[in-house]
Amino acid sequence: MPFSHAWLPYIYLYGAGGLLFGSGLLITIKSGSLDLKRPGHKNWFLILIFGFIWFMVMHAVWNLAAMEVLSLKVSGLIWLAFMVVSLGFGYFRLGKRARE
Amino acid sequence: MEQTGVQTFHSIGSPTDWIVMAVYFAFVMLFGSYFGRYTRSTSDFFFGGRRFSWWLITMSIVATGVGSHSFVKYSAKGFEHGLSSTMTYINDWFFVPFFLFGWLPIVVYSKVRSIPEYFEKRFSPSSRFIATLLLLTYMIGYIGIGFLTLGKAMVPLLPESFVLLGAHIPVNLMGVITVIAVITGIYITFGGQTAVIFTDLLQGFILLFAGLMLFAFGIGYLGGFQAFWDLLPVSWRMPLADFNRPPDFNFAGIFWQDGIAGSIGFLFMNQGLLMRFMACKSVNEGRKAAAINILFILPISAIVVGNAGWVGKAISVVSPDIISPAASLDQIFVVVANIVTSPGIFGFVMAALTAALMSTVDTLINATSAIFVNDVYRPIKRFLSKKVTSKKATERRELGVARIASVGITVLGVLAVIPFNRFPTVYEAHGYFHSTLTPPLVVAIFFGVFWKKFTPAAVITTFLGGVALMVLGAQYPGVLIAPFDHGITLNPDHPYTYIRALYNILVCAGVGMLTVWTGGLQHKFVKWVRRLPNTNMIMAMLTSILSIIYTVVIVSFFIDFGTMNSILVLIVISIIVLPLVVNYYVVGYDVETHTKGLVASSIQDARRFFKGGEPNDAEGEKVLVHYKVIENEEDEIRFSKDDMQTMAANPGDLVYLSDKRKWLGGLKSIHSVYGEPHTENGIAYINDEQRKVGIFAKDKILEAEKEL
Repeated sequence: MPFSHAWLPYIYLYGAGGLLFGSGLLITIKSGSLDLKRPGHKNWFLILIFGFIWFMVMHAVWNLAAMEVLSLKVSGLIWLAFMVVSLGFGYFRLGKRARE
Repeated sequence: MEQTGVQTFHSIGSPTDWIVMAVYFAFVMLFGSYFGRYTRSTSDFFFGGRRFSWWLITMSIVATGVGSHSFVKYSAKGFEHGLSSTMTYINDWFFVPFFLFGWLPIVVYSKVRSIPEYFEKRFSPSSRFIATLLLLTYMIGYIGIGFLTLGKAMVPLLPESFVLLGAHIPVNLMGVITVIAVITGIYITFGGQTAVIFTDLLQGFILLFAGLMLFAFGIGYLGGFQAFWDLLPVSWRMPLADFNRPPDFNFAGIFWQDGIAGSIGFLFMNQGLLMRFMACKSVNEGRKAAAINILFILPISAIVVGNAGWVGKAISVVSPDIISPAASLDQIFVVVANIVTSPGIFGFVMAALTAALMSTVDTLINATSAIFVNDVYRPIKRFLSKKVTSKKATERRELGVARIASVGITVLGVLAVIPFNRFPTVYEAHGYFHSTLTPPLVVAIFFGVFWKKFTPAAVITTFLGGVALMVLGAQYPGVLIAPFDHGITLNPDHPYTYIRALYNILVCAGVGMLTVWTGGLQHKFVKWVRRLPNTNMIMAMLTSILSIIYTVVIVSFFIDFGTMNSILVLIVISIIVLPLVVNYYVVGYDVETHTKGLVASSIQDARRFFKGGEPNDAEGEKVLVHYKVIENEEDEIRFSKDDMQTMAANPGDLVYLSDKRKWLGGLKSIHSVYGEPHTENGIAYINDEQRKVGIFAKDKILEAEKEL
């Protein structure tokens, strides 16, 4: 598998995408629209960070499974575990009172 | 049947499938019509009364997002390139902070009903006018893509021709699309947003179920997941496409076309989607709906929409006699569904697909109609007539206009199919459409929301100067777009279908930034001109020069004349002159006034504007109450002093009162303000109109919470 298909798109996606995501966080925090002093907004900040990691891990596991570095079963288990943790985290965070 | 080397299909399916489809459609139409009765005003027609819970909106977005052309186009690319076909479903998170804490609260709190209205409030009426034109073009194009997909999904099910009253009538794409458009138009015209939301909610669940069921059937057909996985070559299993090959499907191009232009376009300027978020009961519920949708529903949807193509590819590897590798790409979904399912189930899958596509189209028609009423009809009406009519009469008339507009927009959507049908697949047509139509508005909205210094002159120059440079890029892609091509080969038939988005974004953003940064010089020039005796003549001359330049740019696109450099020089002149003209004619723009509550840095002002007073952020609890109808002309709800204390609410704060049953998703609810407290704990005093709007049942418990 050439690097241009194996990892270059992944690096580009989370490099360029990460820059945009980071600048989004920075701009919204600096402008005060995402106010980390408010408990509801702090929850949202954590969810945003977690979402970015969630997609990064999901793509990485998928890449490794496709290239047979990880077996299907192991990849499936990692993915499932991460999904359960994410759902739990999301429920815990979004379930908290977070009034605008 | 073989046609020019491509295997196409007709008359797929059995009579049982048609019966299932007819029953399904009748059921969905009845379901939608039932909820149409909740439409009492234009606010209900377009925004569903701003009352729904996050889960209801999340699921209704599924049918809008997934239903929209996705099954057909992602299956086509899945068949061609494997699992990476759906990479665009998993790249939307990057702009979520901008959306959740920038655009969404601004749109809700500033009470804008459409994106062009935002442009008028934030910039000027002329900005609104241009934004309306661009947005209507975008929305109608989107409807065209929807109709094209619907037609392509339906054609394989139909015979090549049929006989009606002795006449031999051939079945062609445009004919099928016209019939579909009539059915869609009828539905949306009499439904409204509440009907659309509930129909989409039902279809969201059914779509996910049908898509996953199809995958399970496909995997079973191939002998299990491991067998399916082993049949796919490594390159087809990858989640992301090759960086820059081939020209019709590469990562770099699609990242800029979909991950950037598409994501911002979808979240920031898709009026249909925004109206869904506006239908949420609060900003926070809108955030939840967006986050859950992107985090969990979209990855599942990626499997749902692409799996027919992946399964088809695997079948074509083991049994090329069943599915030829040369099968028509846009028909793959239908073909695979027919192979792996049995009669009846195939009908159900096709019904789910076509009904969801109709949902997407009707959402877009509804949204475009909202733009028409808000940004075309109302301004013209205001301009032509000073006569003041009652609110009820106006509402009734606007509802009628909205319905007529829906019909007109449907017709234009059908006509928009013609240019898109020239692309090999729906995927490429949609990619080109996004790369070309979204950048000017995307840049303008983005800078408008996050850059306080972005002025009317900058937004108009972004629109006109940016579009002029985009037109030039489309004419000379090998020179202007090539420097940004990331090594993607230029396909002369469809040059840089996706990566042109990067060029288009850069030129629009560049023009906007340049105009802002030279703002001081522009104002000096305008001041100087105003002191001259022949000011009007000078400005009229500059305006004429601009008109000539833009006419030349447009004409040169259709009739090849002039060199690239000569046209480029003209465009550069226009980019210098246009801000001067705008600054001269747009008077009274004040940065502080025009950005108050309309940029990310002044969300607090937006909240104050929304409430009409200082927001009350004290943490309170929800309370359960019964209602009592009292005579009260005011739009207010009165609670006991103790209940108000529990909610940490004061008179004048905003309150949301809903039926306690969560599964209703807020359908039976109202927004109002707290009135003066009374002494009856557990009782909310409402008036008869509020009871009717909330559709509250007499013996049911209601839940009250402070909104702001």
